[in-house]
Amino acid sequence: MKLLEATGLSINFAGRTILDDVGFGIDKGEFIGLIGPNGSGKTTLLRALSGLLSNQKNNIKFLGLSLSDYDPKQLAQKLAYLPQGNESHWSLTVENLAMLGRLPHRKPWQGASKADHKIVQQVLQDCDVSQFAKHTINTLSGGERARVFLSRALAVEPQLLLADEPIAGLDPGHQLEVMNKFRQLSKSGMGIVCVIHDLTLAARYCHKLVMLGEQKIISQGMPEHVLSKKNLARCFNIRAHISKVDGQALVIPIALCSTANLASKK
Amino acid sequence: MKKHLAANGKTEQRLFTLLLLLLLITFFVSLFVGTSHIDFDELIAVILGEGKPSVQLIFYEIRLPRAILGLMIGITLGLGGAALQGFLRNPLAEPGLIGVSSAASLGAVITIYTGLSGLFALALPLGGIAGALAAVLLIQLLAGRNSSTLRLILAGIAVSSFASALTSLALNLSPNPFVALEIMFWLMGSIANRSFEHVFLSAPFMVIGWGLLLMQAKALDALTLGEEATQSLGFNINQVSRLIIIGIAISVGAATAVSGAIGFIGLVVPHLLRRWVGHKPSTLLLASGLGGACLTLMADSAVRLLSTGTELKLGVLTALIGAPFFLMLIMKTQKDLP
Repeated sequence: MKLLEATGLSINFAGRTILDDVGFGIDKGEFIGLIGPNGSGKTTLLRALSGLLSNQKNNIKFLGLSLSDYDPKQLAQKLAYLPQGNESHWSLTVENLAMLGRLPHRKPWQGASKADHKIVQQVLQDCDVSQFAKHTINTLSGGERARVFLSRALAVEPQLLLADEPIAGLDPGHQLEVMNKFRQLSKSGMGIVCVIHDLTLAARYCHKLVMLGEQKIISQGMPEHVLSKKNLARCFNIRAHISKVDGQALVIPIALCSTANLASKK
Repeated sequence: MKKHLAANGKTEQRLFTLLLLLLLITFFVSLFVGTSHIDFDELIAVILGEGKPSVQLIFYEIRLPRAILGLMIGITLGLGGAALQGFLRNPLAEPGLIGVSSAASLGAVITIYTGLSGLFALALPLGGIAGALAAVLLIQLLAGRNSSTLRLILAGIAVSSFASALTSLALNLSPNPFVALEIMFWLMGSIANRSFEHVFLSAPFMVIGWGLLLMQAKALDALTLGEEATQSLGFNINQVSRLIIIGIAISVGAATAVSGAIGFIGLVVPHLLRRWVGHKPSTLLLASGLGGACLTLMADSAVRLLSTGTELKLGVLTALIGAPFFLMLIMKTQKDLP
C-alpha cells in the first residue's frame, strides 16, 4: 500500500488552471523533492496533498483511506504540513512554538505532558535551535526561524511530512544538516515531500524528484533521470552544467536558453 | 539578553496568584465603597450573617449584585477581548468590533424608546440580549458559512454601524427630552442600581459564552501559525470562528444588555497582560478575564468615590482613563508589536 496516493488532481483558481489531471504517489520511507519554476503549482500540490483543498480530498488516499473520510485530528497526528513563509503572529518562545506541533496529540483541556516536553527538546536539538529555546521567535534571524518552524512540524512526529521550501534562507551548513536529517527520518520510515529550489541538493539527497511545469508533471523518477539537460531547458528555460564531484551530483545553471522563450511564456 | 527571554511557567504562576489576590481585594473594596457609609466591622458582620437589617439590605440588594455584575462583566470583556485578538491575530481588536455591543445597545434602547422598560424592569436587559442574538444571526448570514476572517470583520462593522445608526434614529425621534436623556445616560454604561434579577438574567449567557471561548484555547494557540497551519494541526477553522463569534456575542451581548457599553477594558487588558504570559493566546484568555474583572471593579469603585451629586458613569470613566492609557501603552510597547 502506498503511504499516500493522489489521482486526477485538477485545480483552478479564479479561472486559471494550476494543475491539470496530476497524479502523485509516495511510499513509506521515501524522500521526494518537488521542483519546478515559480507558479508551477508546487505549493498548490502540497496544499492539496495535506487536505487543505476540500474539493480535492476525495482524490487523495492516505494509508488507504480517502482524506475526506478522516477525522481532522486523526489526520493531523499522521500528516504534517509546513507552510512557506514561517509566519508567527505572536512572539512566542521557540519552545512554545515547537510545542504547537504536539496539539493534535492532546485531548481537549489536556496540557503538555512530560512526553511532549521530551519530544520538543529532541526536535529542537535536531534542528539545532535548542540554544534558543527560551528566546522569543521575533528575536531570531530568518534562517534560525526557518529551523524553529521545521522543528514545529517534526514535533508532530508524522508519518508523512509535506514541507514547503524548508531550506530556503538557510546557510549551506544548515542546509546540509536539514537534508541529512530528512534522509535519516526517511530511513526510519517517514515519507517526506519537500519543495526545493536547490537542484544540486535535490539531486544529491532525494530518492525521487517530481518536476512540475505547464500545469502537469513534466518528469518524475530518479534525480539523474529527471535533471536532464532537456528537462531543465523545458522546465526552467536554463542551460545547466551537470556533472559529478566525488560521486555526488552537481547541477549548476549556466545561462538562460533563450530570452525569447521566457518572453513568450509570459 | 535577559529581556529577550520571555515569561516562563514560574512568572505565569506568579501572575495568576497576583491577579487572584488583586481580584479578591478589588471585589471587597467594591463591597465597601458607596454613597451610604458602612463601617468595616459592620461589613464583616453582615458577611457573617449578622448586623443591622438596614445595612443587610444595602449589602444584599445594592452592593453585592453590583460587585458580582462588575466581576462578571469584567471577566466577559477581558476574556472576549483576548479571544478576539487571538482569533484575528490583531492586538487592536476589541469585543465590540463584531457588532454585538452596538446591537445589544440598540435592543435595550428600543425598550426605553417604546416605553417597554418602564412597564417591567427586566424588559431592558431582555431587549439587549435579543439585540445581541439578532446581531450574531445577521453576521453569520452576511459573512456566509465558510467565511474568511476579513468578511467576518466587515460584516461585524456593517452590523455595528447600522445598529448605531438606528440608535441615533431612536434618539432623534424620541417623543420627549426625558426619553432622550434616559437613552443617553443608559448608553454611557453603568452598573449602578442593578439587582440580583439582572445578575440571574445575564449570568447564564455570560457563563456559556466563557465556556465556548475557553474551549477554543488550543485553536487560538495554533492560529499563531496562520490559518492553513492551524487546519493542518487538525482544527476546523470555520467551526472555531463560529464558536468564537457566538461565544463573544452571547457573553458580551448579555454584559452590554445589563450595563450598557463599557469600552476599553476588552482592548487594554489583553494588551497589558500579553507579555506576562509569553504572548501565548491560550494562557492570555484566563489572565485577561481575571484582569478585566479587577479593572472593572476598580473603575466601578472609583466611580463611586469620585461622584459628588451626579454619579459619574462607569463607561465614561473607563474611556476617560482607557484612551490615554492605551496610547501610552502603544508608545511603550511599540517594539513588542508583531
